[in-house]
Parts: sequence; C-alpha cells; structure tokens
Amino acid sequence: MIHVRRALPDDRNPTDPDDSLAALLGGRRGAVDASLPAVGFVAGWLLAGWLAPASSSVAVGCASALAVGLAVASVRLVQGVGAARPQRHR
Amino acid sequence: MKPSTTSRGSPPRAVLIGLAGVAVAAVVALRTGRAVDFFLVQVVSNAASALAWASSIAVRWPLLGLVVGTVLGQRTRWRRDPPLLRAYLRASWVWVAQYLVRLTIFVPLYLADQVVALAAARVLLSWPPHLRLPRDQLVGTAALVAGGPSGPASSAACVALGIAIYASLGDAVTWSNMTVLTHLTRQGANDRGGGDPVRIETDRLIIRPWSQHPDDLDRLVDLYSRPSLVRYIGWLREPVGHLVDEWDRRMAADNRQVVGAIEVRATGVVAGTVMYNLLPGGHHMEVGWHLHPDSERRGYATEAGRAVIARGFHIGVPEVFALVKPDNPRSQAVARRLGMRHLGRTTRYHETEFELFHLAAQVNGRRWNSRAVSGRSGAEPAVKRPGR
Repeated sequence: MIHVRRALPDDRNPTDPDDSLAALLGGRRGAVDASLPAVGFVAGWLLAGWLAPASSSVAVGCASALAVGLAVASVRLVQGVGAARPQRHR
Repeated sequence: MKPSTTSRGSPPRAVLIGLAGVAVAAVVALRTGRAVDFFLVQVVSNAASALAWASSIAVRWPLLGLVVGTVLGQRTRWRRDPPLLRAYLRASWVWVAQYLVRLTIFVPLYLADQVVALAAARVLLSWPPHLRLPRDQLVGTAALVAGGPSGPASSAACVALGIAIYASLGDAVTWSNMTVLTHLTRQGANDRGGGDPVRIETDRLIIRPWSQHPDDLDRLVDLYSRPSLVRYIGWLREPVGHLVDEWDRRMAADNRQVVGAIEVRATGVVAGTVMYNLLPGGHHMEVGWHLHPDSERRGYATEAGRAVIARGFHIGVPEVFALVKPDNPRSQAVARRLGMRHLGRTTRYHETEFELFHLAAQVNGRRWNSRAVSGRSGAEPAVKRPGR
C-alpha cells in the first residue's frame, strides 16, 4: 500500500542561507575546534607556572595543547565516521 | 585561520590539518622557549591568508569561489558566470578585511608578550563575525583580559578597538554571503531549467511560451473571455501583452516555473495554457491548466499537466500541488488522472476555497511514472478521436 504524506503546503522558512554558507566555511564548529588547543595551551602554561614555577611551563602548555588537539580530532573523526556510515533499513 | 571544512566536505583532512597546526605551534614554542611563540603560527598564517586572498582577487581567481566551488562540486564552472565571479570577488575582500583586522589585534599583543590576551583574542576572533556574539560583551571581555595586571593599557585599547571593528564586519560578511548565495541560487535555477525558453514536446502537444504574435494574443483574449473559464478565474485585469511579459519574467526568474501555451502539433491551434507555478509562500509548486472550450475532452490538459509535472520532477522538484475549485469536477478529474491525491478542502490560498491535490516525485522509494498515469494517453494516435 502506498502512503502519501498528507502535508499541506505551508510557509515554512528554508534554512537560513547565511548559516548554510557559514557552515560550508567551518561555522561554529570550526571556530570551537580552532580555539580549544589555544585555551589548552594557556591553561597548561598558567597551571604549570603556578604549581611549579621552576618547571618548563611552556612544555606543559604545549603538551596540554596537543592533548586537547588530539581529543578534538578524535571526537571529530568519530563523528565523521558515524555520519558517513550507511543506515540499515528494516 | 582558513575556512575549515569540518562540518562538510572532508572532515578527516580538516581535522588533521588543524592538529598539524597545533603541533607546529608547539614545536616553535618549545624551540624558542617563549610561550608567546605558540601564537606565532596564527600570526603568520593570518598574514599569509590575507596575502593569499588579496592575491587571488588580483588574479580574478577568488579563493572563496575555489573553496565554495570545490565543496559544491562546481569545480571552476563558477568562473564562467560573470555575476557569480563578481560576487565571489567582492565577498573575498571581506575575508581579506577579516584577516587584516585579526592581524591588527594579534601583532601588538604578540610584540607585547601578552600570552593570555593572545589566547583570548584567538578564541574571540575564531568565531565568525557574522555569527554575532554580543558585541559589548566581546569588547568588555577582551579589554578585561588584555588590561590585566601585566597588560599595558595600550594593549587593552588595541584589542577593544580591534574586536569592535571585527564584530562590525559581521554585517559585511552577511552581505557578502547573501550576494554569493543569491547568485548561486540563480545559477542553480538556470542549471535546473537549462536557461532556455521552455519547450516541451509530447506525442500530440508542444508546450512553449505564449508569444506577442497577434495570433497568440487573439487566442489569449478568446481563451480568457470564455464563460467556462471566467466562471472560475474571473476576467483578465490587464492587457494580454502585459500578461505574456509577466509570464516570461516569471519563467526567467525561476526556471522551474512554466506558463506555457498548449499547442496541438497536428493543427497548430493553441488549446489552452498549462501552468507550473510557485504557490503563495514561495516554497511549493502548483500545476494548473486552462483549456479553450473547443479543445476540451481530448485529454490535452492531462497530457500537458503530465509533461510539466514530469519536467519538474526531472529537475528536482520533490512534490507538486493543484488547487481546483470545488465546483469544477472536470479539473478535479484531470488531477486524479495525473495520479494526484486529494488532500481535502483548503482556504489557505487566494482567500478562496479550493480542493487541494498532491503528488510526490517519490513515494515509499517508488518514483512517479508519467506513463502509468491513468486516462487518455498522449501515446494514443490523434486519429483515434476525430472531431473530438
């Protein structure tokens, strides 16, 4: 039996075009991805300088930035793979 | 801070490039031993980006066009469309401005050894300006961070001013995005419709635009003064020549739309009009037909309607509606012969009561088959119905 969606035409708004181009160029998610490692660096650098002033706080900051960068990359890769996986139709 | 394609395109590549950038920044900072040098890469990359985008404009290969064209799979076809090329050129200047404004903030902070302020500026300036963070909050936060215990007042002023300018770029970015999208949409419409005047040929009919030829105009006047039509759509309120111009403009603006004369191949007589228009609201298509009484009961409305519906589905329109007056059983029968489903009565359009019909290109995975439509088939030889 064929079912037809009993939808009436409405005046719904299409996707905001400004948002769609922003998404094309990275958008909010790209902004967050680009920012987090820098935040990680400063957090690690400040924390190391505060807890152990004699230590190499730059190295801690760099390690922290790389850890955050790796975490972001892992999350995005997992999300990307999940999005690309075909859905099974029952 | 080049455009990321994390949300579309090739996520793994974008993510890995971002990670590589962090690694390079870390290596630079570790080499020099200065925390502020972690941000040297972003200063250099913004300068390089500004230069690259400006250069791309100078050689008329705007980077925005390359990025968007690649993501949309247009390759370099956008360059052959002068209005779209101009839109990309203008929009790319806005991107150059973004990079330059970022540099006016990053460079003084870098030279003043302001690590925390650089990180704060990085966070704030990574946010696309048109996505509109509250401007006052941005300026206040930036000034607070930059003017901290170790920050010179000049840094605070510099960052506050830069952020204000950057936030003001939002309107420019929105404008440039809209310009590009307007042209992309128009190009898409041309791609869908081919950009040429509509001409659809069926077994018995030719559907083509009404013309300003006296024969066409006379037939239009005759058609739209017939009581059988006036009864349903009222009298024409403007000269038919203006009407033809308006229909031409409508089809040129959106090539999905058709207002065509239904010309009978065998005789050259125009049997009526077939329409494939946007419904009020602008998001859905409507099919309709007006037949001259001398051409009724021959299946022309069904054949013409089927042709424009098939064309619409072919160019990507997912569904089509038909509005028929409740006291017009013949047109309702045509809608049913086209395979349209009766949805009920509506007063949503034109402040009038209509029976609403609907047809989807694809239902439960099955595509609409124009040849499976019931009723008189265009494949039937015209000689089978002499004099009808």
